[in-house]
Amino acid sequence: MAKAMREPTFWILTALTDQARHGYGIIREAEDLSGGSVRLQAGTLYAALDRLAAEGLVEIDREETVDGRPRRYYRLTDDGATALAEETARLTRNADTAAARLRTRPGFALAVPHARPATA
Amino acid sequence: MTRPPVTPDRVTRRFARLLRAYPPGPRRAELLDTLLEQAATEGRTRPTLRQITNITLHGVRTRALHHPRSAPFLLLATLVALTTAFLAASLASHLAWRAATPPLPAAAPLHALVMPGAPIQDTWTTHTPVDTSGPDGPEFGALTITAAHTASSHDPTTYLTAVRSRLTAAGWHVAATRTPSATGAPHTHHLTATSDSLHLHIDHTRDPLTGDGSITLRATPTEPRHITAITLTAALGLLLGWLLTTWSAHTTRHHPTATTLAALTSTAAALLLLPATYFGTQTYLQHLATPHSHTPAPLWRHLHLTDLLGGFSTLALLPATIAVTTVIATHLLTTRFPHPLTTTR
Repeated sequence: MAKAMREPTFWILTALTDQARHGYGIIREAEDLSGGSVRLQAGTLYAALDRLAAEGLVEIDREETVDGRPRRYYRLTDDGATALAEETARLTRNADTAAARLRTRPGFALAVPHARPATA
Repeated sequence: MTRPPVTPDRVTRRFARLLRAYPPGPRRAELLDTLLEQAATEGRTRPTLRQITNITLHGVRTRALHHPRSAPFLLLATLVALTTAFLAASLASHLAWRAATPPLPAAAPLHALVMPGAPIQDTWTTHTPVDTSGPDGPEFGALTITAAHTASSHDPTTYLTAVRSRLTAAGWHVAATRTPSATGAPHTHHLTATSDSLHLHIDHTRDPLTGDGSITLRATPTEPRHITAITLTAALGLLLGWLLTTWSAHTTRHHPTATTLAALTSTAAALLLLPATYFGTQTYLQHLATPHSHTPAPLWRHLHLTDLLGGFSTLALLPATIAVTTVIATHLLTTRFPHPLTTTR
């Protein structure tokens, strides 16, 4: 069975699903997508990106120079998308199981949060 | 008075300084871009405490893992790391020990417990730490009482059996007594005992023919717990040794002569310190693992010039100095005249 993904990893991969992003772009997108619950620190982000690149889940898309500094963009690989899909299925299964159990609990009303509207 | 505005260059320098935790390379520039963009968006001109902690920890981790994969390097780095752990723990332990002032016990209760009714001949105390580095080890100070014999203390066996019973009843841990053949003195019997905070040494000396002799009690405080904690924490010097070797390898990587010289001299220094490191650590850990141990086991024992191994330890200064000088000189030269293959920051 595949090992559960750590939450920062999950949000980094999720942040890269629609387009390639650079360091601060990933930090902002992960924070936004997680509803503010995940605030990646720069050191943690790059340690995770190095690990994910070594595992073949992300790769460098391109490099630009901004204000004289190199800015590297990362993109999700096909393996990365597969790994994220597997993790999403695992989390969904877990959530469904827990929700089904909670519904059987007498006198307990399960509050299901509204689905997040898709952003343009 | 209003402060002058913080210039962008100054902000950049602040973040760049923090990023020196990372080894030189393109990652520094990439991180700098991320941190500056984040700071500009959030309207900050300096890193937050959380950023400082995060960057420092990840930078040190990157440096520690950023090393040559060769077996000789790994062997040398391990040797140097173990040596620096030992030296840092020894230094911290010695400094903490010198600064410690554990209280000495009162004379009257000990006199009543060990030699009740015996007329006191002399009582004296030493409050300052004494590093004898001999078989008695270092002491934080001592209370010594000498008393004359009474009829009940003439026979050493009877007397020490009674003392042992009283000490045990009072909660002391009594070690085996030593007879004259073991103490080396023809008419001296010795007994040691330990409580949570004191070591007790009792000498019963009496010449059976002349009746000359006395009973001597010597109480010395045990090592306070905080010194043990400081010593063990300072063993994190292990990381320092590893990082130093990694840094040295990177600094001298384009200069084979400097690499060879630094590697040979640092190996020589570590090997000269190996006996002190091995025996000092082994005795210290054994002492920690033995409750009520009477033999003090300072880590720095074998670093003393008076110790048998102290000579070897002192000789290590020469190769260690050569190794450090070589690496620092190479660093200064490569900073001034960068090698074409050296990665810039």
